[in-house]
Amino acid sequence: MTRVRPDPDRQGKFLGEMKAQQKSRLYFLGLFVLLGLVPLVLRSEYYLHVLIAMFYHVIYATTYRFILRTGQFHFGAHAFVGIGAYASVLLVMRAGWSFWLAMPAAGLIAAFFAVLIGYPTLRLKGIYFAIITWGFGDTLRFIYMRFKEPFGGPLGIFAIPGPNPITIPGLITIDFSQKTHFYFLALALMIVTLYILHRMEQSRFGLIFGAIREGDRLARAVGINIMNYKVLAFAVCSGLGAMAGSFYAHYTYYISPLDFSVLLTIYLAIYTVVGGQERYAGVIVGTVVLMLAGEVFAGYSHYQLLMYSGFLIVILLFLPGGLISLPGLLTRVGSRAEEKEGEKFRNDPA
Amino acid sequence: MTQLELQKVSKFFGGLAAISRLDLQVQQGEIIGLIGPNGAGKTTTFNVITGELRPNEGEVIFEGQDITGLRPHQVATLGIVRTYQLVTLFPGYTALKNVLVGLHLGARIGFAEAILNSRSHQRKELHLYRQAQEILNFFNLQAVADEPAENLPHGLQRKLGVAIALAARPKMLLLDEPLTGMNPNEVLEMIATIRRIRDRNGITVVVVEHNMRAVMALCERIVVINFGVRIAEGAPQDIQANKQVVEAYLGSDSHAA
Repeated sequence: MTRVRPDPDRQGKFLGEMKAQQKSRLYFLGLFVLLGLVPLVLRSEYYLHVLIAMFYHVIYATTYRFILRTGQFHFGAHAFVGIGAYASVLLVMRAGWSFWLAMPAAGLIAAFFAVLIGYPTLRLKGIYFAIITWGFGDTLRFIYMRFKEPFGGPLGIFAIPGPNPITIPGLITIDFSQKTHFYFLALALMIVTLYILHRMEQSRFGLIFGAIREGDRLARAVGINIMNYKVLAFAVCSGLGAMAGSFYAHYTYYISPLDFSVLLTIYLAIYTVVGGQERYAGVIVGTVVLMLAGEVFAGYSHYQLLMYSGFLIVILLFLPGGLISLPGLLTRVGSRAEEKEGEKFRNDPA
Repeated sequence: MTQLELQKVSKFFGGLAAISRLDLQVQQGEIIGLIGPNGAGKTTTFNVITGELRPNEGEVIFEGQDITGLRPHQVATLGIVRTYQLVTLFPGYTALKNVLVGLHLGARIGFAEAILNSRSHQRKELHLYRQAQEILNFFNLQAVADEPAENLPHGLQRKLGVAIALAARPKMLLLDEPLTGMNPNEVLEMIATIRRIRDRNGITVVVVEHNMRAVMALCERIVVINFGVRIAEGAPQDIQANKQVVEAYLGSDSHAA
């Protein structure tokens, strides 16, 4: 048997993907610039607020979906968002830290909790992991409610200071007195989070996460420490979600235990399923569409969950791949129609 | 030099002894066959060595180190990598990506550099890609590199399984029925490949296989087990002439009329 020398010029699919990856940073920068132009056009505080809320919900939802994609039925996203919010508020208000230190610290604290919870529980599959994480979230909620000191009890914590002003001498001062300032902070957080998740999925780490999902026995046999990888994904995603939670606290100036109930995770799960979890963009589409729909129906807030459920049922029945699968489906239907057209032509006796 | 040694290893499933007080020595660099009728305990032996099962008694020594009870990924890190009886791949991944996953132990990629996608990280990725291609070439799989593993014909899936294992740079390969379901041509090719793996890289190979002709052609030494007990050991020609072995496979004369 002769050995075939590898042809250095052979452009495999993988090499092409690698080349494309080197450009992806530009796309994220482009997205930042594009969305950064919005406040120039959109002067309404209300619309800016909707967009800001959308940005941090996109962070919650994409990090949540990433954990789902490692094969774990996570149901405690609210726990880690809550840890992030409470940790950063306490660090700022009690320990006198700057927001700019407290936010990453809150992320690290949440990641630490994720490691603590992750090692014993990530070996559980399906509903068992869901129950544990849900239980963890609600236990935390009861702790916030029970202890007025330092968590503020059922009423929560108010008069939370905004982020500390940043001054670039002689250029500008960003003091977070305007919505636009928050808008850019939320946008930057979202873009950075999306980039990190994107790289995590496209790099060798994504390859290993996928391999664990495809065949965990074989993955172990080639020396992959499955538990470490699962904990890594869990901790990084929880930490990023917690940083968004910290932003939320300092943006709304008020947090209460009710903000971090399981309802938050249920919303995220609905965004993920409605948007389609197969693809990264799906969950973003799901979040944007449902949150916009929520704003349209804002006058009927009692019916919001009803509307979300209706959406969910319709999607599950007619679009199991989520909204993101719609364009692909339409083009396929289109090409089928063309085929039919062609057949008619062929069958024409003339 | 003895590379792997099982000392009086037993594994019970309930009251049933899948292997009982089994002794086994594997020499560095040999190709050794582990044969026996169905249910003799061959796969259990593999599972005990790789840490997928913890033996009830006895020790597994690899290169002088007691590896009994280590977890599978730790055993792989020490240099013992196995393949499975049923085709086990990452089905949705392309052949190339399958091998890339197999290269895990050789890939030293940190989290930060992967996120930042630095130049040195890109070089490392490219290097891994070239290694994966080289392994695919070694198995003559380069033409199907971008094909999802689940779409490959059975013979190629078997080869890919061994390719993944080889990518993990083992010191010892445990092959569980690598020739099952292959046509005679593919069997010959696989035998040649296994020999090349040993000759080129000095990797010890332990084979469990039912195809006797192939085992006799491939292995330098054969260990026969039945009901979890070693009943014979020796060169292929000795094993073929061994009365006990014939009995184990065909039953003894006493039952004949």
